[in-house]
Amino acid sequence: MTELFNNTKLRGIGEDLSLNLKPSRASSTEPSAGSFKDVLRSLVDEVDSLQKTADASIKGLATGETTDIHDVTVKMEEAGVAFELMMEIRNKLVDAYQQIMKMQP
Amino acid sequence: MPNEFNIMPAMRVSATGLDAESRRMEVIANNIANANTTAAPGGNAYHRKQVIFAAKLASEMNKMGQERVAAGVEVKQVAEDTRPDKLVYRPGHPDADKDGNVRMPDINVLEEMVDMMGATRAYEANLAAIKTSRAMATQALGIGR
Repeated sequence: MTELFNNTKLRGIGEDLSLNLKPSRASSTEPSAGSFKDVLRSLVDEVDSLQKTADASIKGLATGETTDIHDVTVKMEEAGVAFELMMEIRNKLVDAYQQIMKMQP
Repeated sequence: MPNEFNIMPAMRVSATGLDAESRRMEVIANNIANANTTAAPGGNAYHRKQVIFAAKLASEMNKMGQERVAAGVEVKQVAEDTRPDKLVYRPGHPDADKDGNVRMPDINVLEEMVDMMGATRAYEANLAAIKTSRAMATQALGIGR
């Protein structure tokens, strides 16, 4: 599902905003030094890996490797919530971008 | 946990609860299925089994260096009941001894039923906990809206 975002504007926006939004004091407080783009990319990757785990467990249930229905549903639920979180962040980003674009008449 | 990205730790905890309760249900089903088994592996009557739960060790530290208290439950052991076999007088039975007595497992199906109800309710409780963590996550995602 997250492949959708690889080619959309999301990463481009992240790149643009990273130039302006990086707070100057972030380097001292944040343990993981990296641009906003990298943080965003790692979030997308994590969500992707959760989706893939859920996918693998569905496959495992279908092929008879595992018989734990609850394991599969919990993983699907987790992947769903992670995806919703990512979408929420994406929406905020797009909103911010559009508001900035509206500043010029 | 191999996955560092844990957005709902409470859900992982409840998932271990679901796991443990379904193992317990398996063992109870096995007890009921074998209530009349005279030839379990080893040649003796089947012995009732029960699961023993243990709290998972919370030794993992998260990224911030705080110790995680909640780590869930696990099945420590599937133990055998120590109650002696029932002796039933059944002379023609291939597993009977020379006096005509057959050793039958001392399994009380009523007791197993009560155990089963306990397992079902505990499973439901864990499911309710999962639903609540899901609802909390959804509500938190809706903060900005």
